[in-house]
Amino acid sequence: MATMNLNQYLREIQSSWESRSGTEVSEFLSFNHPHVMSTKLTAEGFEKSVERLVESPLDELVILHLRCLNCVNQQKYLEAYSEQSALVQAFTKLFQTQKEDNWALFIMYVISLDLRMFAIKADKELAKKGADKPGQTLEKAAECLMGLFRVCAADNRSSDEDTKRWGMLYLVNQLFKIYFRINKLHLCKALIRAIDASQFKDHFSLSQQVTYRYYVGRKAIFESDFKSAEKFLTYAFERCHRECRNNKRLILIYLIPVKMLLGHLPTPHLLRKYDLLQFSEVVQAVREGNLRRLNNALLQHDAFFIRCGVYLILEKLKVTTYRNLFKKVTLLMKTHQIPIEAYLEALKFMGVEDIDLDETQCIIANLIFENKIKGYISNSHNKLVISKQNPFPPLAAIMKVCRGKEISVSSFNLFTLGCVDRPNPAASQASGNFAGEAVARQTSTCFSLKNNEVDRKELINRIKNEFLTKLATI
Amino acid sequence: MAAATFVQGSCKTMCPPDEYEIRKEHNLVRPFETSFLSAVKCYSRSAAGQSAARHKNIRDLTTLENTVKYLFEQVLDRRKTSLAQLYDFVFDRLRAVRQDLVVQGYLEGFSGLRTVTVAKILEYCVRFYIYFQFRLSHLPASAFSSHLNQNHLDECLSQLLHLYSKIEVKNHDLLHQTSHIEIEALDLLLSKNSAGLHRALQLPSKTKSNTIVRNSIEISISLWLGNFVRANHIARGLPLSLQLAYRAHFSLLRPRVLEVYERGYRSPQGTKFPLEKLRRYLLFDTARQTAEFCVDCGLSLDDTGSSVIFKTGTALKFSTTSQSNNLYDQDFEETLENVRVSHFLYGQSI
Repeated sequence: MATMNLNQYLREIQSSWESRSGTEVSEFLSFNHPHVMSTKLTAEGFEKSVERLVESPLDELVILHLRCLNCVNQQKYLEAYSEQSALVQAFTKLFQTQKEDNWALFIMYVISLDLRMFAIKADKELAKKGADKPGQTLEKAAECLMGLFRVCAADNRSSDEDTKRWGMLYLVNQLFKIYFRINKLHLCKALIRAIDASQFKDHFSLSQQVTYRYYVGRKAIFESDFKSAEKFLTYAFERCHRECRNNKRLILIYLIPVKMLLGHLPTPHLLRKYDLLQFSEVVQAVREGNLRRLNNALLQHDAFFIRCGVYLILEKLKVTTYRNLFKKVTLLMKTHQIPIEAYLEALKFMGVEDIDLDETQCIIANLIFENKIKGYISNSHNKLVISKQNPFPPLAAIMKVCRGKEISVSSFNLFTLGCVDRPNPAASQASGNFAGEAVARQTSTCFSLKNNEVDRKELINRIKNEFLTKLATI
Repeated sequence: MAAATFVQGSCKTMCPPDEYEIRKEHNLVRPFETSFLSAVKCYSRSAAGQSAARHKNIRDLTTLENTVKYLFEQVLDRRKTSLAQLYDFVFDRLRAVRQDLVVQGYLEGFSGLRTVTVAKILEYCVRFYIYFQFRLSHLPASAFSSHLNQNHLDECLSQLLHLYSKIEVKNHDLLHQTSHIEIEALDLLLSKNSAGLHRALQLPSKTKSNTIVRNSIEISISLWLGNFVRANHIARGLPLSLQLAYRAHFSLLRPRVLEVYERGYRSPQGTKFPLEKLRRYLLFDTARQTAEFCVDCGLSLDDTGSSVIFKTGTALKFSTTSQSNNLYDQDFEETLENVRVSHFLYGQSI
């Protein structure tokens, strides 16, 4: 193949075309096929040979393909893109005329992929020359592919077997890759809607579905829709073939932070298996409620996290870390009315600079607002009054209840719950049940917040001593 | 837009003579425009099918620069009338300036030092919108359209960022002659979703390490995590223009802040939360404003009227309340009164 001569090439592609063998034709038009290594194909006067041996409309495609190969051989990618773009447009026209037929879909796949690849290289060339619009070739490629997409999407008269609509998801995935690269995520919305409306939604090939869910999951993260993100990325991860380790790793880069936000920490085994040890410090820090450790972990790998676009979700894990830290404090205090100073001291101990009671109350109020703490802050006594029952509900349960949708638990074995979900020893018996959303009680089992016997200063000292020594063992 | 359709302006007066004649005839000359020399071209939607002599009505770059200086120093600084009326006049005239920039293609290509001048003009405009957003927010919608002002601010900002990226590619050193750090931070602080933060995190490390940018990122992340107290605290150390922008953005978060504190403090018996304390968190100017806001949202006050009651079972309702967009602050008012408007707009007051 790599030394194929021109006549042989032309005869083979013509014969494949005649027998409507989409896969064979696509190989001859793909840059992933060894025929592109042959120097004989782009020898002087190749166009005449094509016109002689190949019939219309294939001849136009072949000429453009060989012209493109010529440019690639000279490493002129901007020109290569130009030829490939012309090829795609020529194909789009002829594809449209093939009624009730979709054998050419295989060709569509390879030429679309090559189009995107050349666009990337062309943009790199332009950047070197100092062009002011990065990604302009990719944008053009996207428009080109949209033309193809429209042809596929519009083919709703043909039978299920022959319809071009089967090509939709492949093109959508190519377009996703472009939009993500040029940072125009908002353009994905229309494509997602089109796929959602398609009757073939669940029947496209598995690999296409995995890729699709990966990008839709990433888009959901960007929009802070973490529940949906988890759903999509979990599907992608579980269904991704186990040998595609690189892809599985890519999916995990996004799935892990999302799952952590939803209360599930990854096991060390998982991180090691997929070479994602950048997350291990983060995981440890969150588990311990150790803010200092979390800040260091984020700093250590910030370039990696920012590049992947997960830095912000990981920052959000601070909230989980506060929750875990405050739970520890509450357990140590062994009471249901904890002075806010206790939490303030804990935060200071964890290296949070410049923090005061106001900020501590703000953090706690947010935790209550997000249902991560069951209780309320008493302004007059400056205390957090927690529920006697389950004041720190397990994070996974909160997220489930909060939004009313099911979390997929199928990947449960890969993730453990954060260690903070052990039974709370301070939880008392059922008698003093906190009213919560219910009507205020008048019985004596209700909390009363009298300024009690314990001297405040003494309490703070007790906090400092007991707590700081315990915390020092972390 | 193809380069062929850009016009090269040749008008060297603030107002094209033709326009002045027409306006004088139809009595459309403003009180500020006492003679031809003090007349300023007003904004009009560009008519289709312009004649070849169109360039005579479009001011060249130097004239545009002088026009802006005139508007700031001779109109705004002189302060002969109410702020709202000054805003009306200058807003329109600035819009015309920006229009002249657009039709000459200054917002598209790169023209060396001239692009820096264009960037500076847009920077002045951005500060203009922020300044008046702040000072006129307390007026009713009939007197000041916060919405329109915001739209122009957004438009100007994105045009500016576009210019910066061109300058950066073509001649990186020229970037230092602009106020790109301040504008990047401004854009981040005004960003309504996490897209601004994503962008800011990917800025070159040299830009990110700048104190103003670093603080703005920390403020945005604090808000992202719900830590309003920290965000407000850091914001106090920002340059004046950024503080105003921050407050403008923060006012959109007031409902959320109230929600969080209501949820965090409410008890079955009903907790009394001092209005003075809430005022500080919500960045309101007076306790009375705070009270009005709370009541509008469906909360009740205690008998003394100095605390709001957070009680389980109350449902908050959020529509655009009269107070939620009010940025008025006594301290800032005094500061701004003592700063020359032009100084602020030129970016000289920090």
